[in-house]
Amino acid sequence: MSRNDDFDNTLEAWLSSQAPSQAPDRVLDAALDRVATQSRKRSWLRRLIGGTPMTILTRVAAVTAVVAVAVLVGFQLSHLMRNVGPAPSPSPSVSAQSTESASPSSFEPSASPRAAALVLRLEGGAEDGRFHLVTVLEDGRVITTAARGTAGAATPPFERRLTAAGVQLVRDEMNATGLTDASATYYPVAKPGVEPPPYGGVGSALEVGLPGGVAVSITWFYWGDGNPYFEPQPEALALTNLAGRLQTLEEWLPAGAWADASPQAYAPAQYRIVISTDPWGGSVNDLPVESSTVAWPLDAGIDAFGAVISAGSPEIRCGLATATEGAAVIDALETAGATPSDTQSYLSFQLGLRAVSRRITITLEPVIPFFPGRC
Amino acid sequence: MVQRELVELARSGDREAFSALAASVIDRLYATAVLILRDHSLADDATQETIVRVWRDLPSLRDPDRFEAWLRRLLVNACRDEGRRHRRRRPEMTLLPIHEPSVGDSSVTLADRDALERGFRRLTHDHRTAVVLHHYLGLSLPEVADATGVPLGTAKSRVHHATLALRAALEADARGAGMTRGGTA
Repeated sequence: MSRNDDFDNTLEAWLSSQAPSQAPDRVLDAALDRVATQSRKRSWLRRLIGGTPMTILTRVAAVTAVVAVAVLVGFQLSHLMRNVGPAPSPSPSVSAQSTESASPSSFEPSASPRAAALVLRLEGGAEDGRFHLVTVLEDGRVITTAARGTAGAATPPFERRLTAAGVQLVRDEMNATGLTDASATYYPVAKPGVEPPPYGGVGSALEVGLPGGVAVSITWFYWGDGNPYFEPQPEALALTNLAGRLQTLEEWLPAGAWADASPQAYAPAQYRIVISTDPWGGSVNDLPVESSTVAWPLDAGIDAFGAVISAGSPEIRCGLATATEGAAVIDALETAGATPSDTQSYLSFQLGLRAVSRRITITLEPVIPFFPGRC
Repeated sequence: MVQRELVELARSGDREAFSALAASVIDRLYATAVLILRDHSLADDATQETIVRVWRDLPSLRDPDRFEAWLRRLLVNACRDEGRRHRRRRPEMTLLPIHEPSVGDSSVTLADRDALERGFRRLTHDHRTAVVLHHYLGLSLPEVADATGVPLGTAKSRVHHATLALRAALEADARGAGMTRGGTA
């Protein structure tokens, strides 16, 4: 037996010795309790493409039809709104297979007057949906959120302002790809003879505001050119490179493109406050700061704030608060000793309800223009 | 009932089948989560979250035969999320042998166990995950890449460097022990 084999055997034996052979009953019980009250909320598009067995062709046809209808409705809406300017030339290219997880339902072209102020909105894709990365508005504002998974402490969104010439440079950068003047979705294309693994989540997405107040959306998946399962896709690579450029504007835009000297913390006009309450599987002694010790500053209490957006376990409520109210909530939570987590760029605090063995998670999301939220 | 049938029934909304399916995988999920996260409480949460995500997203699983690979990816993602969520609150994660004493590993000496424990704790989350998937679950390197959502080269690199670090920890410990024993080790 080689030295490598000896070491591998030692390591494997040690790992086996460290692994519990059985999960505590409470883990399965708590999980099934949560499942029992959870409905399968499936988007209209996912219902269409993911629910019943369909051939690839059927799925592609279904997706194409849905996108075409969405674009047609958008066009009609834009017409009704008397927006002047060239109509979009939406030719959604649903290339190759659609997959079980491709669900761009929250990323429709925003063909409405609000799009008049939008230059671009870039979102990253993850297993559980999309997250904001960069928004550029026609008034020059650039709102940037650190990518999810960025190491280090929580990074709040920050904001800079471009000059009109700077905004045009950003537009030029997008136009140079030749991919941002029409809505499209680039699904991965499997290599011949290869059965790719299932993949979850949604792709990255870019919404681009066009002259005339309409917007197009481009979504794509990219896992590197060396991926063993999917064909190289030049469009996805070009869009990924563009996304990288859009996240690093300060590295390549000339200093004269900026109307201000340095980035500032993004000052939202509103916070979206999401409060989730779920059963606590461990000892109540391990629960975080007791919720009753928080001097909650809003009229509606922690247990009544906002509207229920998900009933059952966990119960999730969501409501909007002004910037002043949001700051007061943060202050009250920190004063009580609740520590913010650094999961994303949102501030997220945890509290305990020892009497009923529950944990409360309070997340404050700065509201970013054009970025959809849960409430 | 075989797993494929349970997956198909659960996918179509049969909660009883889903409960049976969850019960059949939960021990493995939990053990893997404990090893990756080195914390029973975090492993509780990650395992629960994985089960909930399975229920929520099962209708999107096109091929029931891919269930295991899909499940592993959900677990790895849940462990990653849980690890990040608690990184600041719990800088020192502890693994307490609450459920299982360290028995049945007579091939691993007490000194080796301590050295491996110390070395393992020093690994990054991604490196621990790669080691657990490869050396505990016995996944091939392409399967590790698939479960962690990284290119094959990255998966190879993670397993390689993590293994090197653990080996170094073990050898350093052996050298130390040898010195204290007068160089007889």
